[in-house]
Amino acid sequence: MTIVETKGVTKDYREGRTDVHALRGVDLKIGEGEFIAVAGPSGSGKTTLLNIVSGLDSATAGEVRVDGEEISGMRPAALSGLRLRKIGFVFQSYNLIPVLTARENVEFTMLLQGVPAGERRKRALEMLRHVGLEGLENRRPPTLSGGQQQRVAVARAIVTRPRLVLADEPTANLDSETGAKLLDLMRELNREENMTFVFSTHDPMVMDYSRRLIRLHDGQVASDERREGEGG
Amino acid sequence: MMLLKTAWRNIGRNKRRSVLSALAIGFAFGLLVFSMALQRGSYVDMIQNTVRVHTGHLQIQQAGHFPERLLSEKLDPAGILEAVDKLPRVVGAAPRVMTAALVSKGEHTFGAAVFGIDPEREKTVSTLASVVREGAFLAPDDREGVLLGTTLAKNLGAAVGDEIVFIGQGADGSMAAGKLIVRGLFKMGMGDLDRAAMAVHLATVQKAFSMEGGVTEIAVLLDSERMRPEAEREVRAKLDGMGRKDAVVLGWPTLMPGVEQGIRVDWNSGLIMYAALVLVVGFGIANTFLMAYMERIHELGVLLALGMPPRRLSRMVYLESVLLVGLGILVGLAGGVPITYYYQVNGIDFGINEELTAKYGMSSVIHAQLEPLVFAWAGGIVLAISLAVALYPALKAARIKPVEALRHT
Ligand SMILES: Nc1ncnc2c1ncn2[C@@H]1O[C@H](COP(=O)(O)OP(=O)(O)OP(=O)(O)O)[C@@H](O)[C@H]1O
Ligand SMILES: [Mg+2]
Repeated sequence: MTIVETKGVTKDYREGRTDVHALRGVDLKIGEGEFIAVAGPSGSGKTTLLNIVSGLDSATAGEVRVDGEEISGMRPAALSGLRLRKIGFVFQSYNLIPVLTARENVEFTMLLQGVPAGERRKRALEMLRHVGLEGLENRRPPTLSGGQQQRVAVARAIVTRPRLVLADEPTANLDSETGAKLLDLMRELNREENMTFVFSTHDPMVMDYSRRLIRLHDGQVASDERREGEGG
Repeated sequence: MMLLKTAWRNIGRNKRRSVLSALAIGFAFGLLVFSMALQRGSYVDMIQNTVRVHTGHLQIQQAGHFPERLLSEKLDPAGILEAVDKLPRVVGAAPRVMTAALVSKGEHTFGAAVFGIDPEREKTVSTLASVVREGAFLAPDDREGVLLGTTLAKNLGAAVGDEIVFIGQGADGSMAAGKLIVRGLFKMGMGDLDRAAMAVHLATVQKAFSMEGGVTEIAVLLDSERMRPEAEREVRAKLDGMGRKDAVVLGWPTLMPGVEQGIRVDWNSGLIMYAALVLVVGFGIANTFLMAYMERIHELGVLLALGMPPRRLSRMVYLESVLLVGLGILVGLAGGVPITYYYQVNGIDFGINEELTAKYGMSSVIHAQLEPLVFAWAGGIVLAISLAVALYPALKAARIKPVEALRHT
C-alpha cells in the first residue's frame, strides 16, 4: 500500500530577483512500512521535500498524495488535522516547547488528539524511558543538552504511533551511540507496528540503517536504491 | 487544562513584561472604579440636595395635578400623612401648597413662588428650617408669618418684623390676597429660591387661595434613595388600601427631570471619557500582546506542524491575553476597591469653601459609592477594550504559515 506519492513536484522560491528551484520534478512512491533515508548535499532539497509531504509547505506544481488524499489544495485546518492523525515530525532543530517539561512535550500531540490525561502521562513516561531519558521527565528543554532534546523530539513524534514519521536529520546532534539507540527504536516500531519512516540525513549510519536510499541532487532524484539485508 | 497551564507559563516567561501589562490593566481598571464610584457619590449628594431642597424622594399628588400643577387639581390629605408616616422607609412626610403670587412692600413688587408649609412637618422633610439666616423659622401655629429668600427680602427692602402684602389667584379663580409679617430670611445658596421664594403657613395659603383644606403635594422623605422604587410601591399600596385611587405617587426624577437628565448626561459623557482613557491604555497593551506573539512565531509554527488546528492555536494565544487581562483586573480590584472603600467610608473633601457649603446644609465631602453599576461599567469597558485588542494577535496566529513561522528565529 502506498502511503506517500509525489508526481512531478516542483518548488520554486523567489529570492529577490532570481528563482531558486528547490525541487524540480520529484516523482516518488513510498509504501507503507518503508524505512527510507533521503540523502544529498546541503541545499539539494531534502528539507523542502519533507515539508511538502507533511503539508507544512505547498508545492509550486505537481501532486502530493498522503494515504490516498491529494493534499495540494487542502485548507490549513485540514492539513493540521492530517498531520495530527497520521504524521509525526522530527525537526532538524528539535523545536520543543520551552515552557513545557520533557514529559509535557511528549504529551502534547496526545493532548491535541484528545487522549485522556492518565493514559497520556503513562505513555509519555514509557516513551521517555525508551529513549533513555528516565529521570529527566520534569526538566524543561532549555536545561537539556542538544542530544537529550532531540530524543524528546523523537519521543514526541513517535509516541502517538503515527502511520508516517518524517525526520529531518534526526541524528545530526547526537553522538553515534545515542543515534544508534534511537534508530534501533525506530526500526523496531517500523517492524512491529509497520510505521513508515522517512529521514533526511547526511549521516552514513542512518543510510546504513535504511532499507531504501534516495539521493537528491539539485532538487531531483539522482538515485533510488533498495537495500536488502540490513535488519531483514 | 494543559493548554491553560501552557498559557500560564507563557505569561511567566517574560515576567517583567507580564507584570507591567497586568499593572497597566489593573491601574486602568482601579482608576475607573475609583472615579466612577466618586462620580456616583457626587450624584448621591446631588440627589440628596434635590430631594431635601425641592421635592422629597416621593410626592403624593392629586392625579392630573402634574405637570400643569393647577391649584384646582388638589389633593385631600385626610389620613394620608398619618398612614405614610408609619411606613418603614419613610423618614418624614410634609403637606404643601405650592403656588405663585406677587409680593409687595411699599413701592416694590416682585413675583415669588409661595410655599405653603406645615412648619413642624416641613422640618422632617426639607432643609428650609436649617437655612434661616435671620429671624426664626415659622412657629407651628404662626398663621401670619412669612419667611423670605434673602435676595427677595433685599429687593423688597424688607427686614424681619416688616409687613408685606401678597396677591395671587386662588384655586377657584378668585383673588387671593393677604398681609404677612416677615419672621425670618432664608438662604438656600440657590439663586432662584433665594431671589424668588417665600414660605408661609399651610393653613394661611389654603385659606387665601381657596384650597378648601386641599394640598398640591405631600412630600415624602425616605431613608435612602436606593430603596425608592420599593417605597414607591409601598406608598401606592397604602393609598390603594385607603381607596385613594385619585392620588398618584411620583418620584423625584419625574418631578425634576432636569436633575435626572443632568446626571445621565454627566454619567454618559464620563463613560466616553473613561473609554477613551482605556483605549489609550489598550494601545499599550496591544503592543505587549503583539510582542509576546511575534517573539513566539517560531514556536507557534511548531505547534501547527505538530498538528494543532489553527483555530485552537488562535484560542491558545487568546487565552494568554485573557489570563493577563484577568490578572490585571484582579490587581485593579485588589488596589482600587480598598482605596475606594476608604473614601466611601471617610469621604473625600474637595474643600470647596467649607464655610459656605456648610451654611447651606450641603457638604463639600463626597462619599464614593461602590455600586454594582460601577463594577459592571468599569469591568465592561476594560474587558471590552482589552479583549478586543487581544483579538488581533489571536487572529493573526490563525493565519500563520507553518514553514514561514518555522524559519522565523
Ligand atoms: N524560504 C526559502 N527561500 C528561498 N530559498 C529557499 C527557502 N527555503 C529553501 N530554499 C532554498 O531551497 C534549496 C533547498 O533547500 P533545503 O532546505 O530543502 O535543502 P536541504 O537539502 O534540506 O539542505 P541542508 O542539508 O542544508 O538542510 C536551497 O537552495 C535553499 O537555499
Ligand atoms: Mg535541511
